[in-house]
Amino acid sequence: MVGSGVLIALFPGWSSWLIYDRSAILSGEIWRMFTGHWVHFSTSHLVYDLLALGIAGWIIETKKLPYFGWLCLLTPWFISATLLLFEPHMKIFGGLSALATTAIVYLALFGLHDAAPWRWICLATLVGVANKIIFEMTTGRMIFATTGNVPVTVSVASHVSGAITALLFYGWSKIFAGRNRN
Amino acid sequence: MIKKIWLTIGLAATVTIFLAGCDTFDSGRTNHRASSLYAYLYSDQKGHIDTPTIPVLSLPLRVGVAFVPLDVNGRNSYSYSDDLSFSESQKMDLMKQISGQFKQYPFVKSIELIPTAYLTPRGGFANLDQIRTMYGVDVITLLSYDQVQFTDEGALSLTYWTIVGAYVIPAEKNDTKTMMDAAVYDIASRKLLFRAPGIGSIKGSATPINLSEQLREDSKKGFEQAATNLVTNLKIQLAEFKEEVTNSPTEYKIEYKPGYTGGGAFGGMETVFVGGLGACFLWTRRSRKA
Repeated sequence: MVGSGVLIALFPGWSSWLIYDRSAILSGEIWRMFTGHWVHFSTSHLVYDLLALGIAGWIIETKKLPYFGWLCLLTPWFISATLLLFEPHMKIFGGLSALATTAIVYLALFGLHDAAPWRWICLATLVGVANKIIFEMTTGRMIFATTGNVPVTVSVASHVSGAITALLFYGWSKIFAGRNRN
Repeated sequence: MIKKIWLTIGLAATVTIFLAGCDTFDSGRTNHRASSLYAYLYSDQKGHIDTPTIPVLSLPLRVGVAFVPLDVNGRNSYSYSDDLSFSESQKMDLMKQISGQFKQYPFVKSIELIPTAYLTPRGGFANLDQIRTMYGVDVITLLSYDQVQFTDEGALSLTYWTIVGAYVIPAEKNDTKTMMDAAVYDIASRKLLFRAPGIGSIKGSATPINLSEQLREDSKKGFEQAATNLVTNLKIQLAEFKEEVTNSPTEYKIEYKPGYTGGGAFGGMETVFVGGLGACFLWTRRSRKA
């Protein structure tokens, strides 16, 4: 996933075919709902998002948390569908931060079952993510991030839907694991 | 005959001395030109105060730039001849210089340079509402200025007693002080978002013959210097305003125009936090293995 982000950044000409473009998606180019997340608007945007996703993904794979592959495959579609429904004025969208938020929330939820101090660290992470989303919702600004000189506005809906998707996958994995035990 | 010639020369010399003397004893001249933002916005509101509301900044912004018109003899219209020393083309050049400062920001969609003739003297916010409708601007930068030119004679002005001295000796000392002010208003909410000053000071000298030409030149340089200073201060104030908007979500509301580009981003600090999470994970793993 990280490699894909770098590859797309190396060929800027691909961005126009891959980026989330609302009017293009509604015209039938639905692949953009998935590929759009891998398009970034500046080098700093790319580097920070890939680092966050890479670190979260590494922790998840090291801990062998279930359904991470399905999470990465399905989450971009859920997030893009949310944007189509709840952000009708947003024409263009890009960035892996929503998927990174999903991964962070996912690993933090599973971490709540671990022993201290990892449990407390995961709890603090969940609180931090919630505060970040609340701040973005109330102010319409990102706390720290900028995207270079590109006029990008924060998409709160993408982060919220990413966090909810993580919660749903976590719940599903718990239900499925419970059924297997029975 | 010789007596008549000497009488004529004596009379001419006396007249010259009187003229030069009058000029020498002149205690200095002052030219003053100013436009007033306060007079433009508030002069017709005696006893009434416009209460600003919370500004809603609809990004990306459409910004207007305009010079406040001179208030001449209580007239309700502006004429280009009101201030020939600071022409409309000079104002346009300065507005272009100032607008360049806004163009670099991604949250500015467009900048409109509004001719002074479209603003009514003492027009107030009602006039700004009309400008908003005409140009579609959300926010307007109102430029005002105050320039004073002092002219005094130096010691070399004694050479004016010779007629040649008045042509070649630059004994007129000129001091031009210019102050410009840029006030950025959100038109809908009537709120002053931020302001920035610019100051210029030009010293020069001239002969009495080319004094008015030199004063015009000094005036032009004074405005240019003040505009350069204003642009520098505007950059600082704009950066401070951005900080203020970020840190005061209850004082400024931000919304986005349709067709905007959205995204999420992890900033440097957030990535550091995630990096910290990774470091904590490594540490807890090693602790368990130990």
